[in-house]
Amino acid sequence: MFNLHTRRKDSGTPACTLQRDAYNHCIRDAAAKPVKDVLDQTGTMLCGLDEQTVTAHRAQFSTNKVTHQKKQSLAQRVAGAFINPFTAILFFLALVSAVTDMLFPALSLFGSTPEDFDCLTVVIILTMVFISGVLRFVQESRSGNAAAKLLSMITTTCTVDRKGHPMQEIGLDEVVVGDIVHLSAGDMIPADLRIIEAKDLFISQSGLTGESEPVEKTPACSPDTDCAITEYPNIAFMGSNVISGSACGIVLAVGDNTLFGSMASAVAEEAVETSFTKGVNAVSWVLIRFMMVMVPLVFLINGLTKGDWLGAFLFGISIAVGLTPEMLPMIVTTCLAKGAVSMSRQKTIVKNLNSIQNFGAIDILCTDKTGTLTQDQVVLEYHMDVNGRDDLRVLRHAYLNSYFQTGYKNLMDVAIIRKTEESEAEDPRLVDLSEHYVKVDEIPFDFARRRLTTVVADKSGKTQMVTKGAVEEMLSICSFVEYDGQVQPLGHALRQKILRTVDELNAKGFRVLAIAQKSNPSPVGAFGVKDECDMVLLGYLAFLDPPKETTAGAIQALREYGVTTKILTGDNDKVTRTICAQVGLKVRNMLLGPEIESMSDEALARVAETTDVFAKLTPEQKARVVRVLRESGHTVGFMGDGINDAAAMKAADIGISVDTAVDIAKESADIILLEKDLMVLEKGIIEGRKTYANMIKYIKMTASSNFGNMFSVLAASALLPFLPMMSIHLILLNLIYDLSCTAIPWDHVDEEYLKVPRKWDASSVGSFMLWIGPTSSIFDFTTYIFMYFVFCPLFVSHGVLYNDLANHFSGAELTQMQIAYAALFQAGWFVESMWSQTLVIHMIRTPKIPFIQSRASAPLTLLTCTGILVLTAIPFTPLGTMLGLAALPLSYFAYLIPCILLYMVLATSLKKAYVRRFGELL
Amino acid sequence: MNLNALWLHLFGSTDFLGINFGFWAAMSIVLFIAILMNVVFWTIALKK
Repeated sequence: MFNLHTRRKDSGTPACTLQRDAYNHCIRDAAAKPVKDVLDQTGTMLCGLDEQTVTAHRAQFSTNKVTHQKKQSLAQRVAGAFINPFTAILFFLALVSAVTDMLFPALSLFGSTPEDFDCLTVVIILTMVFISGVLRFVQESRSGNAAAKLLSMITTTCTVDRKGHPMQEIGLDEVVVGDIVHLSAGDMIPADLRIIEAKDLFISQSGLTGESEPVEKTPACSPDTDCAITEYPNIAFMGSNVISGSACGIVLAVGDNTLFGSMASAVAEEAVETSFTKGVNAVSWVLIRFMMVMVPLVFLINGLTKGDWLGAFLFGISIAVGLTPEMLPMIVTTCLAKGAVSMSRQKTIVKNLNSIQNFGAIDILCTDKTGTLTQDQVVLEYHMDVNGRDDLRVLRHAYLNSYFQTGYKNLMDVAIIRKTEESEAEDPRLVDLSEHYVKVDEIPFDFARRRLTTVVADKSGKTQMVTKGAVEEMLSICSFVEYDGQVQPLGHALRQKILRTVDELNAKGFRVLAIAQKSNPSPVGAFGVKDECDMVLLGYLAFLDPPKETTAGAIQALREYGVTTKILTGDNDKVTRTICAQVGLKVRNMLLGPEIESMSDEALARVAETTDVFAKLTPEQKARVVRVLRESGHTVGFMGDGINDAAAMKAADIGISVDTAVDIAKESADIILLEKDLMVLEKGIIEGRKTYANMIKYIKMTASSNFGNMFSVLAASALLPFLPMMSIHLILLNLIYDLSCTAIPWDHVDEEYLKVPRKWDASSVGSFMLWIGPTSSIFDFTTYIFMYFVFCPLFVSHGVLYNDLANHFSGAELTQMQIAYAALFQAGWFVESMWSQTLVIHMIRTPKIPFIQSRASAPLTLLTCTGILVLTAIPFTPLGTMLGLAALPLSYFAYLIPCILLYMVLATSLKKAYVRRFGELL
Repeated sequence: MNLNALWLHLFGSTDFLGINFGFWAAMSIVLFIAILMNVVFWTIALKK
């Protein structure tokens, strides 16, 4: 038995090197040996493994799962949630506070006494660290579980022979060493295989080797020991895919023991950062840098102006806490996870959370014709001879061609087989057709030559080569035609007549394939493409894929959301134009593949802007169109489900496929639709934009609030004779505010915001910060002024300002007055700060007037109102007294309410000015 | 320099409508800043 270790080792270690050597030896050995020996050594037979052996092999050689990254233990996940720059800063601050508030007083150091011992600040900071970490852990776990659950809804299968169950479809992860796997065009290779049968098998190994050209694989033994593992012509590797042809192979290695698996474990798996992720990280670091400049400045100013360096230091710490956006990672994670789950309810499965933002940013959607403009239910309407008369022989030959081919049966093959089976009742010549013939050979379909050939033999031994394919490609291999019951040479006049007939059919919306045959063909060796020559054209097959009635409405709906739809199809222009007309789709311009070939990228980019339909495209041309549109500055999504769509999906900003697509298409996609419908796509795009909107709200809110707070704190530090807030007040304020922000992922989004594609723009955060940030500072200043000049003198010091207290009071009474003055001031700013900071959430979530023209969601409204009420009540409670806050006089609220209303007026004015300047708020 | 004494000498009082002049001066500055912000932001050229 091939004996590959199942435990992964770290790359580069001697154990890993040994494992690789063992793997290489096994592959070379399997490549060199004949099929019978390979079967023996893997403990299998051509009919496949029995259940017992499957279980035994799974236990011995592990399951077919590649571990892309080490599965994190619970402890690692918890550590990941708690260990990040923000919580590290908070933890450091808690440590400093523990030293200054607890250790120094306990040890009576630096003038502190045991009576000064206070653990409240440390407790609150650690509570914030705890809440932030727990919320992040919970949300990351839920998003991980949701992602796994969503991914499990997408099935990728392969065909294996198991004893008693030939051609069984099983999940890729159920494959074991020794399984006999059948491959056809479009399949992903499920494991490392030794090819034992192949027919024109071409495989793309670009994922492993970077080589873009497909390589041919054959079953012949390859004893060469000098070539690289990937060069063995009879070994196929997991991670590659079948471009064309068909094959059978024995599984040699699975999961982490494959070449792909060893590469995946050797390379550190880092999620590809989108521009959005980078932008969020950049904003976070800007805020951290702000804090690092602000805190020393505040410390110095307060120390110099007040002389209390310890107090200034503690105040600086609390400013640092306030400026640290510790909830940012949790909010972003929650938004993305919630967005993915909401999108799944709209039948859209997100494979990669980071692609949600790109999905909302799409402004051009490129899509295939089939299933979008049409119902994806191809029906064989006519089977005609070259004169256009119904001909059963054409159907019989078409059936033999489609039934016996072992590659990917496309919709037309399925339609031919269905039509034949439906017609059996009417015509006995169609009954059990497959029983009367045996397959001799086949030449599989490929997108270059656009034909498919099967060679069959009847019971008398007569062989026939039957080829069907695109009309022009078929005419190029036909030298004869059956015309009026006789075989005649295919002259120029007849060719033109045939082409005219086909054109007429195309104009009516039919897709037309031609069918030809050759009796008793005599190949040299196995049948190959060179044998497709001198064939006799029999007739046509006319297929109809009924147009989808909802198409025009769906495309219009997408346009209303700022998404332009472009059709990219390999079909011919006449059929495409007819279908477009039938569905009511206006075609401004149509470009054909041959026309594109002669264009430069610049010319194509110019023309592509105003072209609605691209027809007769090869797969490479589809990818090229997508690429030039992206290079023109568009965010392009490509929707496809065929083998020929994979390249275009990879070239797009976002690849969209469907659950019923071929494996390679699903593998290349970022988003999978459970229904191939533009309306489903539209709903998914809207959800993507909602997710982005809520993330950007929090980011801009945090950035602008922190920026505004900077001015308030700097001004207070410089101008006031006492600290405007104790550090404990700032920290408590921050805690309650952060808790009220946790509902942002569940907020509503204005309908107008969803109408336009949304692309991450880092500069918009900076400008938002500069424009909107200082708004709250204005009302912080008015609060300072009112508290200092009006309320505190009125309710504390009998009309005397703080600076004059020493002239009117002395001794203990002076000290008591100063403390009471500061306590009332701090309570006043404490409450106003919470009101203005919380109202910022409602002000900046919409460019409209909040509460009147646009309301936040119930959870957000409830949480913010609760936060405001709780914090407003604190000065009136024993907790407030404990914190050093004085109960506010009722007349304070006669100031607060107009202050808040004026704040909303100013914020609305500046919001409107911002929208006028930049076009949008968020 | 004692600003209070100087103000008292010039204007005969440090209060206006029962509130210290400092209040009125500070509020005027804040009002000026608020108006200035609006003027600047509303007259700034539109982004192309």
